[in-house]
Order: sequence, then C-alpha cells, then structure tokens
Amino acid sequence: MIRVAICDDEPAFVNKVEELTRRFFDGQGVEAEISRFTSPLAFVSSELAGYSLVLLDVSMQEMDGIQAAKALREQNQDAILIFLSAYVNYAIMGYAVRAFSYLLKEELTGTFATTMGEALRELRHRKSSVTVTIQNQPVTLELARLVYLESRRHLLCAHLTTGAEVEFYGKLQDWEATLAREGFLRIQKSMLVNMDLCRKISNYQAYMVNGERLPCSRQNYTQLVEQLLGWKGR
Amino acid sequence: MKELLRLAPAVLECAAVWLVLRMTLPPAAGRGWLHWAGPVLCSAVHMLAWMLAERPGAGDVWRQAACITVPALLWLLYACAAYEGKLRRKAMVLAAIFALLCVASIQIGWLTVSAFRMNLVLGYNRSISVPVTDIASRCFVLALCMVYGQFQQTRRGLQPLSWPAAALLTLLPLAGLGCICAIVWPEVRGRSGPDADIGRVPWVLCMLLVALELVLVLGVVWTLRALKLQRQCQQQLRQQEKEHGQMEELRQMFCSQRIQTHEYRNRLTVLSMLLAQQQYGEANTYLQQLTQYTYQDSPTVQTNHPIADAVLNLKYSQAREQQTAVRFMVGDLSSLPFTDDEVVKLLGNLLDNALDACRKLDKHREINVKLLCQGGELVLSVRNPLPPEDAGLRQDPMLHGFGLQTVDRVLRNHQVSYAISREDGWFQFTAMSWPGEQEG
Repeated sequence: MIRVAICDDEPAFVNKVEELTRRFFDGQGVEAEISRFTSPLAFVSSELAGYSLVLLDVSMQEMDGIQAAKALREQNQDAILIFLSAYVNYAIMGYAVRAFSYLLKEELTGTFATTMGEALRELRHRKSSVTVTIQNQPVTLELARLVYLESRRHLLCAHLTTGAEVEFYGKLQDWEATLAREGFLRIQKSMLVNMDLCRKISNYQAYMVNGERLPCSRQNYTQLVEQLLGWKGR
Repeated sequence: MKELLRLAPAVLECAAVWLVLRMTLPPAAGRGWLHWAGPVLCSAVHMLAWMLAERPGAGDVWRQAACITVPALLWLLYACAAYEGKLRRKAMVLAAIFALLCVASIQIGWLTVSAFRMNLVLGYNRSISVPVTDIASRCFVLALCMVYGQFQQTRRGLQPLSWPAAALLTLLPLAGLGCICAIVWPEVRGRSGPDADIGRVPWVLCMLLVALELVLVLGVVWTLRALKLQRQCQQQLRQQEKEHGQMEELRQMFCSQRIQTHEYRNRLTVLSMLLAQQQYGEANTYLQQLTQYTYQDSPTVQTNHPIADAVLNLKYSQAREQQTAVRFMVGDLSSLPFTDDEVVKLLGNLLDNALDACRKLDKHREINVKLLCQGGELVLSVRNPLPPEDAGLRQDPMLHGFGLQTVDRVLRNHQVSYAISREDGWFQFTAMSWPGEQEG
C-alpha cells in the first residue's frame, strides 16, 4: 500500500487533487491511503516518515512549501515530493529538497496522470530488488544500492554502494535481460552498471558514484553514451 | 567546320588558363566586371592570335610570338588586375609564374601533338588529323587543369571531395581506356612486323576520350556540389528567418510585459489615491475589478535567467494556445554556460519541434522540459509524444529540418553531449555535460 499526503491551504484544491489521485491509483489497481491537510503546520506535525508520496502546495500562508519540504526531508529522505503551484520557480527545484516533479495548477488535468505514472514507476524502481542464492541461502539485493555487476569467470560479483561485494553463480547475459528495464547498462563484456549510480561516461570510462572508473567497450561507445543520456533525461 | 576545328584548341587553352587562375589565385574584392570582361577579352585575343598563327604562310617566329607571347602577356595583365586590385611587383611575379606554368602545360601538349603528328602525316588527312590531335592534346591539358582544380579545392577546404570518392573519378577514364584496348587489341593481335603498327590515331582518340571523361565527371561533380551548397544556403536562410521570428516574438513579449508593469503601477497609484482620500468603498470596488483581470502574459516559469525565462514562457503560452500541456522541471539557470543568443536558439528550436510534433496529435498533447544546471553539471531534456506518422521514420524528424543543425552547433561549441531517442511512443532529446567539459 502507498501512503500519500496532500497539503494545500485551499480546501477546494485539496478535494480536486485527492479525487485525481484516487482515480489514478484505482486505475492502476494500486491500493493507496491518502491523507489530506489544509494546514502546513498540521502536515509537518503528522507522521512524515511514513509517506511514500507527497503533493505539496508551494505558496501557503502559515508556512511556504519549501519550509514544509525541508521539514519533510529531515524525517523522510525517500518520499517522492511533487510540488503544486501556479508558477515554476527555480528556487523550489533546487537540490535542497530534491523535488521529483512540478505540477502547474492550471495544467493539472493534462499532466497529472503522466506525473503520477512516473512517480509510481520511480517508487517501484526504488523498492525493486533481486534475490540471489549464496551458499544455498536466498539473499535479497536492493537494486538502488547495486552499483554494478561484474563477471569473474563463472561467478558474478555484485558491487554495492556500501563497498561490500557479494559473489554468486550466474550469467551476466541473463541478468542483462532482467535488469535492462531497471536502468542497467552493459558497458562491456563483463560489466553491467546501474545507470542511476553512473555519473557520466567519458573517455571510454564509466564514472560511478562510488568513485570507481570502469572501462567501456570502444566498439559500442557511442551507443552507451546515448543510452545513458536517454536514461538520465527521462 | 574546319574553322571551328581550328579554333577549338584555342578555346580549350583559354578555358584551361582561366581555370588555373581561378583555382589558384584568391579573388579580390570589388571590380566584379573585370572577372568576366577580362577572360572574355583575353580569350578573344588568344583566339585571334591563334587564327593569325594558323594562316597559310605564317612563319615559325610569327607563330611563336602570336600564339605564346601575346596571349601570355594578356593573361598576366588580367591576373594582376583582377586578382590583386592593381599592378604590384609581387603580384606580377606570381602571375608570371602561373602564366608560365600555363604556357608550359600547353607546350607539353604541343610536344605530344608533334610526336603524334609525325606518324599521322604519313598516312592520314592532315587537314583533319592535325586539328583533331590539337583538340585532343588541349582537352587533355584542360582535364589536367580540372584535376589540379580539384586538388586546390581540397586544399582550400572548399567542399572537398573525399579521396575514396575522388578515386572513383579515375574509373570512367580507365573504363574508356579498357574499351578502346578491347576494340583495338583484336586488330593488333595476329599481326606482325610493320602491319602490327596501327598508328597513333587510336591512342590519340584514347587520350581524347580520357580527357572528355575527366572533364565530364568533374563537371558533374562540381555542379552537384554547387547545387548542394545552394540548398544549404537556402536552409541557412530559412533558419535565419526563423531565428529572426523568435527574436521578434521575444521582443514583443518584453514590450507586452513592460506595458503590463506600467499598467500595474498605474492601478496601484489609483488605489493608493482612493485610500488616501478615505474612499474605501470606491477602493474596494476598484480592487474587486482588478482581481477579475487576468494577467494572461504573466510569467509562469522563473529560472533566474531572463532570456531562458522569456523563451520558456513564450513557448508555454504558445503551447497553451494549441492545448498542449507542459511540465517544467527547471532549476537555477543563472550559471548556464550558453550565450543569450545560444539559449534562444537551443530552447527555441527544441521546443518548436516539440510543439510541431504535438500539433499533429489529436489528444495527449504534452511536453516535458527538464533544464537543470548546478555545480557545473548541465541536464537538458525535452520529451514529447511521437506522432504516428513519425513513428516509422528511420531518421528523426528533426534531422529533416535545420533545427538540429543549429542545436548541434551550439552544443558542440560547448562540448555538450546529446542523444535522441524514440521509444514507446515518446521522442526524447537529452543533452548533458559535466564539470570541466564545457568550453565556450
């Protein structure tokens, strides 16, 4: 179940957004619990850590949206935050509050479904994981923490963001087929990298967020760069 | 006919000299009339000198003077005057060298002709064979000058013909030689002694054929190149007109916003006066009237970059007019590495293409714009649904127009990587650069 919070000091607008949200999740067959707030103070006093998705108005009288967003981030780093406003302001899209998207109130009907669809995909992507067998024991690896998979002879080695390495039996091409939709890119014969954790591909190297530089295939270099750009720009 | 045959070598010589001069010397500004009057005058004198030299009874000395000295001097004067603006010693030396080279090439042709004529005199009609060999040798010289011209164009970087393609130029001449050999060889095979000598006429004809083929092929290549250049110029002209239109739209938007700001100030002044005069009822009524006024042109997007704001807001208002929803994800663009002109070209072209694509759709008209610039990292992305008629195209719609060329030029100037994808019914343009990789 997805916990959603809607916060706007205009009750009519809260009603509208709630209706759109309920309609969207019903259409997706996803169970959602929606909490509505017409006061930002009431919102920040609620259980912020439990929300997966927050739709927050930018301009409110008691407290503006950015302050409310900062309060949210203090307790909840993972929630997807979508701002609602009459205009797009650069200050709000700054990385300080890591807003996922922006919805213009006058464009709500036309863009709500697309934005929520992307938010739902992102939620699923963040929670997606794979199960591998290590010494006959199933181990779950969160894809969000998997930097890259490396093939070492008959073994696969999963390099995690924590610096740990997990070895298990498997074939890289099988994993490539499974993880392609989750944003994994095969940069060379023996490496499959997580594009979310890849900063850039330059000079025939993939620069990962953990500081590692992985060599890329020279033959397909152009296609690799294009695929990374396509993923980053979506 | 015979007179025409006699004049043809002179015409070919003039064409060869003019070509060498045009390909070698840089054009000078001004005196445009000299560039067509000069060659015409020099060619007329050249042909007159040739005709006088060919008249019956003309001696060798007169022939040398008429055929070489007079035309050479005249071409020299033309080169100095047309290409350097005025007579200069350095230009005269250069032009003299070029003229001598032209004359030397013609002399080589004459020597070749002489070698052929010795055999031709023995058994052929001199009145026909001599002009034919003259034409063949001059044609060969002209072909050599065109090949020289091709090298010069490559050296100058003017629409160069890449060498794999240039090597194809030899195919036709080689094929012609092969055909002639195939025709002549059966005649020669089986003969022995003096009968084996078929004379030089076939070889002269070969040379003529090779030369004609080279001239024809190069002529076609240069014509196609000129047509391509003309098309590119037309495209650039259309692009300039489009950019001019974008600038004009921005200017009108700025003027409109200035007017609105002025009106807003006026209204505030009126309101303040009413309040100062304690006409609270009238002030309340006036305020209610004001709140019903919709500022249709009020900026929706604020990126801390005035030009980006102007372009994004302009395209947003255009999108609303055609019932296209736009989602923005923009950050502080004050550190955008592009000039104002580049911002207009970049965002204007990308969003115009997105608007054009959405216009073709009956429903689900939507554009997603992402433009973030922080810590030296730049992300620019424009996504829109793909019209059904464009889904099957092998090439992107943008490639058919000139929008991508402009965008490509701007991004390459700053070493920004970009990619275009068309998947799942969506068109996406993404450009990214990282700290240390942007150059202006």
